[in-house]
Amino acid sequence: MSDLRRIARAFGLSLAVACFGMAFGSSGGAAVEKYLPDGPNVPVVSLNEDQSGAAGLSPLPVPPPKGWDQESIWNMKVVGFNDNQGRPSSDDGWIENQNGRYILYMTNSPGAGLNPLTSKVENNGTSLIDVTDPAKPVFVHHIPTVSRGGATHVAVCGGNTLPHAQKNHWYMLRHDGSTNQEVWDVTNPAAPVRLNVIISGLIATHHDWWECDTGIAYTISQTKTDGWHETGSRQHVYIYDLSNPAKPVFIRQFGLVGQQPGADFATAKSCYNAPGPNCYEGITNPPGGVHQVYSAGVQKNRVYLPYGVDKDGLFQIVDRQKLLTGCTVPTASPNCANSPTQADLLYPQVGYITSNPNQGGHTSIPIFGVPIPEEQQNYLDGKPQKWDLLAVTSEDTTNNCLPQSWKNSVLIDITNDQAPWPIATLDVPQFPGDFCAKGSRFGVHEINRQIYPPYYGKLLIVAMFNAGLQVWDIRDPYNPRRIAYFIQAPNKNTATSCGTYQGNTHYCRKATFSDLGEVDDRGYIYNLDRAGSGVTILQLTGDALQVVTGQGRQGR
Amino acid sequence: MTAKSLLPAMALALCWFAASTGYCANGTADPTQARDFSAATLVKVTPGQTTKAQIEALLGKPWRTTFADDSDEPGPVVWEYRGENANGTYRVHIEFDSHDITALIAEIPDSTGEAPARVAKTPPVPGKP
Repeated sequence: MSDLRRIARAFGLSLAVACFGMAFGSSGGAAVEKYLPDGPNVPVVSLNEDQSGAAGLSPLPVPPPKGWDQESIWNMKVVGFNDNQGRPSSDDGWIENQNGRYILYMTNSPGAGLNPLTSKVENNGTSLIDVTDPAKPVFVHHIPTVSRGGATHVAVCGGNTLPHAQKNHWYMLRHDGSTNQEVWDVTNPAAPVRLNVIISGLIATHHDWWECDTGIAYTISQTKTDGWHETGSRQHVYIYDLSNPAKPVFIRQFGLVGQQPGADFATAKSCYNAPGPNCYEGITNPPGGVHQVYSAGVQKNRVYLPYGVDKDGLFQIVDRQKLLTGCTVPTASPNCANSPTQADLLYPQVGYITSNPNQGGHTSIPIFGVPIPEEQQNYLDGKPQKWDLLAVTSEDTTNNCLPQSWKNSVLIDITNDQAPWPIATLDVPQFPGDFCAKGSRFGVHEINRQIYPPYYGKLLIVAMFNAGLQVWDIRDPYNPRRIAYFIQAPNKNTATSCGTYQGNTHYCRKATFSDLGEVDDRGYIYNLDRAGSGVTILQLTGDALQVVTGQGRQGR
Repeated sequence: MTAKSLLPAMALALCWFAASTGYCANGTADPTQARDFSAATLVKVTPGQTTKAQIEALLGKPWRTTFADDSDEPGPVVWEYRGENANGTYRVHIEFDSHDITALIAEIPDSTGEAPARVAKTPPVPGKP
């Protein structure tokens, strides 16, 4: 390439980036803002529309999905694919930009399969897939587990962001089945090295959340002997300071009132109906185990915890600073860190909302500062209003819809987080698509956790199992509307699921089911399939793209 | 290059050529390749009776091991085999109970993606074949 052409090309690229930055409100040239969990910031959500915002948009006609064996796609396009060695994905996944090299950390469900890179059958663990070129993802490495329980969750931080880590290194926090929580040095994705085991001897594990700018890690764990009580998933929160991943520092255990070791759950009464020194929060005694943690970091000073998974849900909001330092204040009990009292657990609690018994607490992700179109003028002080929202999900956990109720995601107004209030449900109906007869699970599971500023506060990517990824336009949070979807076709690796169908209690079907739709900082969307059908990389098109570019009709 | 260093390459080459028939040089089936599990073979699997070891002796090592996904927690162990016959490709799906006894077997054609499973008529009694 000639120098002139190179300069022209570089200029063109810079111009495109600058225009993109202006369009999305980011400041070219200034220091790049670090969003959660790499920094304390969240993007500012600004309207692309006129002063009326996106109010009054009518629902779009959603095209019916195609047959069970065909891909169904609307306002999205497929960019790339990797088969993940046929390993079934799990609850989680993360895309990390490692100095310009994008690595997808794909979590895998329990099981085992052949790794063609080693020619060995390996217990499912964590797949590291290079997605720098999304059109040609490269499977780089598989970190198997020792246990056969898979490595179903993951969190990744860079050493340049962690306060006391080795610079220019990258670290992955995961669990090996239900047995431990461990940190790996993944600086070289082709040759990860286990750095240490944070905690072992566990009987339950689940999602991890790692604040990269502070190093605070929230792991979901349980030991045989820690004495905590939960209904359903037997797990609660263990908090560590992993600012230096090589030297973990335990901070405390945490959960809902009624779960602490000292609770007498045989005699406890509802805190709502009978507040007293021995009560339980929510409608189940003891309360259901926590499923995830999402910390909004130092600036927002809130931590969000959903309890209950698929029924009897409760969504708790906690003061982050009080949570982390609560066991060091003078009023804390002597054993606060491991065996807190009811007062110790209540100290950081800001508020909570209980769902109906048919819905659980699987996910709760805050979205701060969402413009409310109806209140851009004429209400309150006449100035544009922005609310804080909490996007929550339950989880469908049975095949063919039986014997559970319809599971969807919900938007909750948490502007006043002592008084959360649901404002909209993101309903994906059984028909068209006949999802309850398609095989595997139908219903909500997960929402994207990574922040891509143009999507923030405007689009939500909701994994609906066999109904694929459903993208929602939430610019008018009172009236969210479906604007894109992707339902993967089965392939040669897609697993079969057996369940009750039309009276036959053991009927098997081959069906994909999306576990998670995650995004990277380039806007690519990753569909991770729990039936072993691989990862599909997607881009938005049409009306969905117009929501974020501010171009054209924006779906009107 | 010494003769010793050639051995692995020769074994690999043998396996490569044998892969088209679904068998490697040591005579064991390559679980990644589809094979024809005849009806006469599959009917020997009796839910409630056939053990995991007997399944392996009958069908070889599975292509993939997973866990049945019908709850938030991992369910029964599942062994999967890739099959192929004159009618096309299919999947053999076998679920085991906690005593490693076959609880369910299904042969699912890829063309239809569905099939009823064979299950034990009565719940298996632990410790009894």
